Amino acid sequence: MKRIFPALLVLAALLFPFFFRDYWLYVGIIGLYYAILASSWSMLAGQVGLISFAHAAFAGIGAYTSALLVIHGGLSIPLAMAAGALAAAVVGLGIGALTLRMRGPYLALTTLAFSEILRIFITAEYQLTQGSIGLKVPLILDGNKLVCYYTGLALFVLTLVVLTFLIHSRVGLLLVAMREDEDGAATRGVDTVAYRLIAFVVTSAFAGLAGGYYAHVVGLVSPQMVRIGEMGLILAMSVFGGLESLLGAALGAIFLQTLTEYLRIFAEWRLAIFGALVLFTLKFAPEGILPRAYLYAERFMDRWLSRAPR
Amino acid sequence: MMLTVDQVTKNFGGLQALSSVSVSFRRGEFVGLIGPNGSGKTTLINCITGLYRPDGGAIRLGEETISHLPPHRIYRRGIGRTFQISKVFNRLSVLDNLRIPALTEGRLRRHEVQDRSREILEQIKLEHHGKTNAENLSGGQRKLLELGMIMMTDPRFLLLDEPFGGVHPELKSQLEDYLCRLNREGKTIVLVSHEMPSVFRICERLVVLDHGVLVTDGSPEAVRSDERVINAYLGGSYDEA
Repeated sequence: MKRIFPALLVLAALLFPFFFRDYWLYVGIIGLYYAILASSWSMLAGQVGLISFAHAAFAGIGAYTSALLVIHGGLSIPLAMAAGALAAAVVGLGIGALTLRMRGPYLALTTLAFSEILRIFITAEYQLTQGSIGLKVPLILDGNKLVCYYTGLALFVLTLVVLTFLIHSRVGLLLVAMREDEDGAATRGVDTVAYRLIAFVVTSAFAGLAGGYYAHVVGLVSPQMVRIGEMGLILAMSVFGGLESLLGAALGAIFLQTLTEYLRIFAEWRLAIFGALVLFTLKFAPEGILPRAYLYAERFMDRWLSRAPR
Repeated sequence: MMLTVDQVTKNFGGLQALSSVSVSFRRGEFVGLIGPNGSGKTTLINCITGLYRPDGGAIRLGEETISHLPPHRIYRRGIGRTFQISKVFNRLSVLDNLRIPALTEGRLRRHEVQDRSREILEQIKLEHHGKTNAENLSGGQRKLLELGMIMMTDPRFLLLDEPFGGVHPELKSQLEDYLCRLNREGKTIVLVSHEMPSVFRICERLVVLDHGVLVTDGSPEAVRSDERVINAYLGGSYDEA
């Protein structure tokens, strides 16, 4: 089961464009954007225990940086996207250095304030960002959906590989120790602020990368990207998919993004439905709906295999 | 090398947890830090290890003032501690728990960390539990693991907060022997404990706190008969207790 499931996922992801075109392929493209955001946020919240409300803001920084560099700097899209990730990492470093000595609600509140300041700044700085109208951005290969999809898939895989490597590295072990008991870790030599900062900068960079990708597949970036509702959506996706599982959070993102399309008739009430879904998940499956479903599926497979005639 | 607490004061709102406490711990000493509940023993250890910043006074390691340093830097200067309620990393294996202090040190290579972990596992009698998650250990085993964790980097000073609490009598005797051995090897041990028989048996010097004030500092024999200790802590003579 442990090998079959990821293999099936990879196969499904690779074959997706052959079965779904136009509208649903576009939904898949946006789903990959959220998958990168949700998995990187779940790394921060689930593995490190840091609740940041600035993840959508970092995506916005990546998106605007990449867009402006292509429009005004004449940079190629891949280079501009990399620069967007770098910009988000640098801002993450600044915000992190200021806030990561704080614990619990203080970090959440500070990052929330930062997000709002950024949204107001983007809206007000009309000459640079076109304010709330939004900035038109050149598309990847003139918006070829197949290329956009596989680019997103490659970035998503890159995110998972790098974050998984980080989790299983020396740094990852120390991060888990900090999450388990911060004072215990600090009194055994772990520089908790430095390691929190590493995690914050790395995940901010991936949020920035996702933002750059979004800008060049949608063709428009606006302050809507960094509004608090977007952050709520990322949070809902991560909790639904499982905070402690990068892949679970990513699948949660794709699932809820797809669900969003079906719930369009409910307009803004969709967020209320997502909120209810998060409450339901936290109450009945705090490790996430998808990890729980996976566990049941695994048990079912084991039983089924043990009953099968040999 | 001497660890000196010089006129340290710590307040929590209107409560003075430590009031101008001065005490020194010399190399190779085995000191018992005793006092009734709420007397400031754990607060003093928290101040020494950087979890609390003193409101007044200074803590020095040799000539260096360490009271402004964060906990990880104090640990790296050779001051290890355990907690009253064991702070082990529950969802990590015993071996991973042991690896963490060694990884932060950065001096040890991978195979050296492995060798050291095995050595420590044997010393703390957890050699068959290397892959067990810490949450599945008994209370006593968790105490031993915590001690093993700080021993990974061979600190000079060990500040042990209630290491015998909840430990099986047989295991307690082993733990006492282990601490005595570490002390003979040159470690300075500061032992906070309510287990008076153990404290009087293994400590060569006792420091007594009461309501954040240092009441007395001397040999177990002198402390045993000190009227102030009897009044403040034992409520009668130790023999009667």
